[in-house]
Amino acid sequence: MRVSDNSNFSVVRDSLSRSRSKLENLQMQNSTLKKLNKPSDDPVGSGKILEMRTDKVNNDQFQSNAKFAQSFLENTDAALEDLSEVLMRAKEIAIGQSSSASSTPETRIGVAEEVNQLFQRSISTSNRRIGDRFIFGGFQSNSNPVDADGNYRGDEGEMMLEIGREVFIGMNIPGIQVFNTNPDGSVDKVMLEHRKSDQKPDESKHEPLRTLASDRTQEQVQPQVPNVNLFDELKSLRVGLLTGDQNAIRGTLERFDELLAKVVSVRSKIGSRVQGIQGNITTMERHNVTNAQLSSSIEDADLTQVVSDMAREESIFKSSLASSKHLIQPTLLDFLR
Amino acid sequence: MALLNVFQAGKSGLSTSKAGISTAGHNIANASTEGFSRQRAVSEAEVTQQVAGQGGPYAGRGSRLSRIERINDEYLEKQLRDGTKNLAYSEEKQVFLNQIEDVFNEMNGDGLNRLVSRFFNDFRKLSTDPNNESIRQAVRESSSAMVKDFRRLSSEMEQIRNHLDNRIDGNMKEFTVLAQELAELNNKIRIAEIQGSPANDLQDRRDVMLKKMSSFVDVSITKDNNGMVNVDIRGVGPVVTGPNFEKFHIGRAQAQPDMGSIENSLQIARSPHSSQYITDRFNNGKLGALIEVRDKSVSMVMERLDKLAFAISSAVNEIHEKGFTLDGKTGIRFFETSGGPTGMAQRISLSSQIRDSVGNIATALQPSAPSDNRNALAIANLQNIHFMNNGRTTADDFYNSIVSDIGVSSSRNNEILTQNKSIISQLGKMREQVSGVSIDEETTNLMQFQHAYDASAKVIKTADEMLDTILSLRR
Repeated sequence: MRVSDNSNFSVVRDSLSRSRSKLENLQMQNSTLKKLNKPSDDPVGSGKILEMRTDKVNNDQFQSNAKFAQSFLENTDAALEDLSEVLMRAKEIAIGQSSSASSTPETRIGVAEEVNQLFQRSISTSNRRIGDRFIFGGFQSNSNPVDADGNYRGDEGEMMLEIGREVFIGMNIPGIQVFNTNPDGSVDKVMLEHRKSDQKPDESKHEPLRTLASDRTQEQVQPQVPNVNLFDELKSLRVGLLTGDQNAIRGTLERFDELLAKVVSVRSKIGSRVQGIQGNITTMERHNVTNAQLSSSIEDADLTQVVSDMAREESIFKSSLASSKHLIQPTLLDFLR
Repeated sequence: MALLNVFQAGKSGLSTSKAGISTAGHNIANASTEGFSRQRAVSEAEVTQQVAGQGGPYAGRGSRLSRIERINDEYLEKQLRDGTKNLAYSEEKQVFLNQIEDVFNEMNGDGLNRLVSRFFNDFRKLSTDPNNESIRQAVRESSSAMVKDFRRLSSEMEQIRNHLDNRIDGNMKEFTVLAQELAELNNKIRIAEIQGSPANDLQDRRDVMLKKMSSFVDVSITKDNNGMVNVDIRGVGPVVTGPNFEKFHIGRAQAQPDMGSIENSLQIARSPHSSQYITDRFNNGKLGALIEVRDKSVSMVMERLDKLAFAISSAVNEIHEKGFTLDGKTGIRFFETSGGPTGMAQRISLSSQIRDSVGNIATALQPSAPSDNRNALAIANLQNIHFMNNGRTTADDFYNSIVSDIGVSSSRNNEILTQNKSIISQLGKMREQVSGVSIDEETTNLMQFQHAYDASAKVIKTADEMLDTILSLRR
């Protein structure tokens, strides 16, 4: 085979530049500790990485949403506990005053005052806020959900939060559902419908895009059950005490039980939501860990591999330098002198 | 046999040896000249002459330089031209694919992907507290960051397109200059060959030139009977025919939708008066690569960016317009959208109402409901909704597929480039084996011819002595 000097030199040039470019690539991986530095390094992997980055940003927001919803629900629960204390105390009073043995007009006037205090306490508990938001007002979070007479001023709005990809959870309990044993048959509901029709919001169109934006707060309750309102009941207890109507007082007992049962059921609903949220937070955390592992396996350079590759490539480079010394040096002319 | 013939034989030996030496010298001098083919002095024995009268034996009359041969394999040259064309194509393409990839490089974590997810997540955050002024500010902030990045991507792609136009212009000019030079060379070679001298070095130069021309575009090369070469651009027609060359016109033109090029980009035509553009018929080589990247890759990326910007802004607007602001206003657009998708990535901006006040972000589905977050939720949920590609992909997926498509074409081209490089280096080696200069070989030739020269001189000296001997007989 003929070997020309040019091909000799180009072999040297090629092998040196190949080694150099491999070394440079390895050096890049070594300094960034990433094997994926541009999309073309691994097009499919880089698409995956982008997906996982979005997931991470979303998960962080989902987690913070979940924590927010949890604290909101826990605050609601604390308010409900207060309300149930009020109801228990009212029931105790009603039991105490329902039999003539322990009830005299003097004691009744004394406890009537206590019932008044309980009424005031229930109003202020119902108007409790977190920051500047009233927790029981539904969407009407800027004004008192309950007025001084115990009339509900909020609406039925339930604030849904996304706490996982397309996992939604209600972060509030509209007061109307706490204060009435059968909200749909309540006076509050009638008033609410009345106010609604005054404002006439345009909710006529519901495309698939907006299913979420539609009203999901309807609850199925049998309409034939008569409604009991918490504030009305306290009022009627007080009236009963003031007028000495023991039958009326006795009549409140059962209804206080119904109200208590209602509060308990709402609290257990909150409890299960909080549990769901906590489960979700754990899932999110686990998801983040899995994602981190996966993305690390796609984009992180294996340091041991890189370092050993570098050492190998370096020795190849050195040996091709050394061999090129021999390849280039002698020509016939060197031996003719 | 006349003694004088011996002088002649010696003399012819001297001159053939000298030709050999000078050829070796020429080869050594051109050892590193691009495209040089080594030459060899071919000598042959001079026609013999009958000695000692009629019927006597024939004796040689020395040697004669028949020609200086160029050692070259035409088939290899053709392969080398094809290889050069493919290499130039993939090299040029890689330059621009790398640039596009740099524009979309999200691997360091900053880019439209992150900004789009931040946009949706800020709405998600707003859904926790729709009334909150600072979250509203954050929503506006991230929306304007997203809008700005759309515009950045779009204008960087526009810059690449301008750069491509400049390169197409420059390369086209260079190509025309080469065509002109080739036509002139054709003429010179024809004249030289008519005069009987094989134009070895001119032919080398012509080969180099043909190789250069092949690096611009896919050309087919044929040799005519006069030893001139004709160059045709495949799919377009002749550029060089013997001593004549074609000059193509290049200028700005209207959009050519069937070729994928936009308004005011450079187009190639046969003449300045023709409005029939042949740009898309330039395949392969540098020009083919540039035109392909401009009219396919860049156009496609920009079209997809526009689509994405258009789809996000109209989907968000559609929901936003139906929502209510804190003040009970409705029908407010979130993004300014005018016209169709074309150029949307460049035009997208926040609407004037949103720029005026963050209070105009419509989070509620009913008026005067401060905590009604349903509209904010619906906007955030767009992230999960397949509203791109006729309902097949989400905005995130659509964008990610742009990035990974760029990655795919860049990495595939890079593989082809590596392959082409090794093909070229292999072909180069093969050409060097045939046509390359080996200093060792030339040195040996030099010595061989030097010795032959010495020997021929010795022949003349011997003849001289013989003549002396004969002349001294009469003394």
